[in-house]
Amino acid sequence: MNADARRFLGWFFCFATVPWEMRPLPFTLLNGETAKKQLPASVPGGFAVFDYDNDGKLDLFFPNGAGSHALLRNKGELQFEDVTERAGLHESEFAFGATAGDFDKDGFVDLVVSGLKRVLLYRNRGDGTFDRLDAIDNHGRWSVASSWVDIENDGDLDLFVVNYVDWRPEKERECLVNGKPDFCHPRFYGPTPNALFRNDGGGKFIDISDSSGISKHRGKGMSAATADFNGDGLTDIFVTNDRSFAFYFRNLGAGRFEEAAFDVGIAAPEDGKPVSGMGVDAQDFDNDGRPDIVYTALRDETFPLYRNTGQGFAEVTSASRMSVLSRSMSGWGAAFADVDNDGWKDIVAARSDALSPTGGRGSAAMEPPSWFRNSRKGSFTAGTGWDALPRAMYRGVVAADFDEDGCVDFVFTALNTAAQILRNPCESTGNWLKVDARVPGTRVRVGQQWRYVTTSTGYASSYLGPLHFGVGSAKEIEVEVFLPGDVVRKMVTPTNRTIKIEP
Amino acid sequence: MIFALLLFFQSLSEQGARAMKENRFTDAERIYRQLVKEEPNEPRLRMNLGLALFSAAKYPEASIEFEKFLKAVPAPGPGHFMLGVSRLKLRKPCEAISALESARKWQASSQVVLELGDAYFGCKRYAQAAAAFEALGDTPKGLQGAGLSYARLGKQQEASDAFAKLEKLPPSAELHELLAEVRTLENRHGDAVKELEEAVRLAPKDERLRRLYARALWRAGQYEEARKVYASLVARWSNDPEFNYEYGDTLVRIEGVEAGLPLLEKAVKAAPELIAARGALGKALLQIGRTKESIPHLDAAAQQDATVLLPLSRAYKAIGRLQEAARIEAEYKQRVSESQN
Repeated sequence: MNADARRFLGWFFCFATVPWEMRPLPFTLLNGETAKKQLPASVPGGFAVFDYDNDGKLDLFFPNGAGSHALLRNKGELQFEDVTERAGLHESEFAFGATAGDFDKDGFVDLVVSGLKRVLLYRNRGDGTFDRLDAIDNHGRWSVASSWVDIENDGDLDLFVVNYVDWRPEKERECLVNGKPDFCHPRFYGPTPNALFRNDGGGKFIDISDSSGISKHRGKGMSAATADFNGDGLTDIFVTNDRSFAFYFRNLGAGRFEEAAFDVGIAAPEDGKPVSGMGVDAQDFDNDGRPDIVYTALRDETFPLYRNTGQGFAEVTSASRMSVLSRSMSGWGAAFADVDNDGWKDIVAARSDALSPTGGRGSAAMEPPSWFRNSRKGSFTAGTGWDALPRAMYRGVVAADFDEDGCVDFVFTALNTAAQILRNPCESTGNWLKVDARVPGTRVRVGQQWRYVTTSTGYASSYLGPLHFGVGSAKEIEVEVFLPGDVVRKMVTPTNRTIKIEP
Repeated sequence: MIFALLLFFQSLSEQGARAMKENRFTDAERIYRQLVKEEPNEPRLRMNLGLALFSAAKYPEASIEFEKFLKAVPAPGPGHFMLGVSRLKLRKPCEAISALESARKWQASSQVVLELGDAYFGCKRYAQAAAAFEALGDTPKGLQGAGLSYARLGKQQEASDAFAKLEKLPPSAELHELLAEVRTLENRHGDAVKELEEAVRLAPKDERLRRLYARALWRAGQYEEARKVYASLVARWSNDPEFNYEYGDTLVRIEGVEAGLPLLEKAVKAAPELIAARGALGKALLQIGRTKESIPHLDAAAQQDATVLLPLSRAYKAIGRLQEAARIEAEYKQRVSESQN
């Protein structure tokens, strides 16, 4: 239903409020938690949203912890069928995140899965099935997330792998929280370096972690956001770390990076206490043309929000009121998304504690998801309409218009419960435009708004589909698309439609 | 003339005693100061002045008066007890020990032994602390102190036995308060809240317990609940610097800097030695752009809390003192990295 029709019907149903509706999906995220509370059980939950069969509908791939991964094909009208077996993806490998990207440029989107012991690369054969390639050697490290990123602007997608801590089952300790067994604090585990693999074509990936400068820095990585943050034409990488300084890998070109989080003012929040950095998203929330950063953290740490000034980052967690709004929350997934199509990106968070609901905090570890409305003046207010959503151990969230009504919906994963799709009732009268440009590194301007094509979003998750813009009352709007390699497409288009940009 | 003078002293002395009895400690202090000025060699007047100052929570000045009293009357007695307790109040437990040991020679009462146990515990002399608390028998405070001391000594079995006995004592507000202290020392702040909830339920009119309950909520990060309890206590505690720091910090966290800033400023003005409050005030001032004002507070707090070095570095950067900013940032990285690993 388009915006005009909704506005028209609004005259008849002006007193009826359509609620946000959560529907279960045929996938349950299992974390294999036992009384021993081994750390990996706390960490699952990322997933990928992409169109695996090029039928124009966004499908879902869920890596699993203690169960099989799942590929759900979108049949339309929010109906999904499990095609895991048929696709050859029925594997049980304790895993945490997935990232979609067409690394072999054959027009079919491939997948990489971050696991406890290895990184799995699945090549999409284009016939609805996937091959597993043994192309990525992560040296047995525990990887939580990854990002496909063209680091040299050569047209090939390279792979950045986010590694977490040095965890060994035989060395796992027992920890008590409020007198009950629970997951241990990350300080009990050593840091590990992240990894970078250069795509040399033909399914070959060369480990350039050392020569690129990436492996010089050891952290406890949870997620990554990629964008050309400093506007030099090269994609940079921001990494959240668990209870330690965040990393900002500035791309120097020629496959070299330098870690510069302190230089740009993003290593730790403004009060100086390193937080449990979890999921992260990088998009332009203040419509100034530069990608900003928000990430989630745990209770009493707030969800830090940084505005890109062009010279670095200015932390605006307090000034935007995100500190007050998120103080009592623990978050994992995070996404910038225009929930109400007003032309300003809001913030969405999948929430829960890192502790177990059977541990020291009990069921208080479960929280509802939240959204924060962008009030256009650099500040946020509590989003409405989600108050009745159930509490759970939410982990991942990805925003996408699954039912093609012009409003973003959300898929959430939660530990030991079915994944959920939260349908946007689309009561906003704002118009919209979707720009389908799936080449990572592409920048898109719609009116005064910007979005960046990335393959990683939120917590260990991935989205590769049309970019969604709420455009308020605009009936037509100017669009400018900056593809990698300085190719620029400019047009004026009517709103409430999807436009496809061919590379 | 002499008779008139005696009458004058007797009258003043009676006024002082009456002021103490009626909890008018400022009046009592004024009266005893006058008496001490008239009779500087009378040690009992110093003792009375010390008691007035102690009762008015002026512990540094009280300590000085007790020390002067003991110089004149060195034999073990109540002066030693008061000096020891004053030093405990000043968070100088190691310096309290000798005075309290002398007090024990004068009178090995449970009150003296309890304070002595606290002094040994605060001074990290846990074996002596355990012995002192054991001497109190199966009393709530004795069992709590013994359990905590044994836990610090790594004697887990003895600690567990003491805590098990403590938990089996008949419920009382005091018992739950002591259990809350144990939970706090174990960093089980959520459980400390539960114990104090129970204590407050058993003694609903006890504002001191409600004060402890508010602090437990604040420590546990339950700021919304803490705010309500703090708000209900403002009338009684509004001149207490620690109260204003905690309440101000709570408001900054849930309502923003503007809401909590006046309380933080009041706390620091009254007690500049309250380092945590100075750190909170410095951060708050920096957040609202009062950069130059923030620097001395952040600087003071950085000695105790390395995380404050980052906002301090940013403050220096903001006012263009880049070399200092870089030096402090380097120190921040080093100190915080060390604490993480």
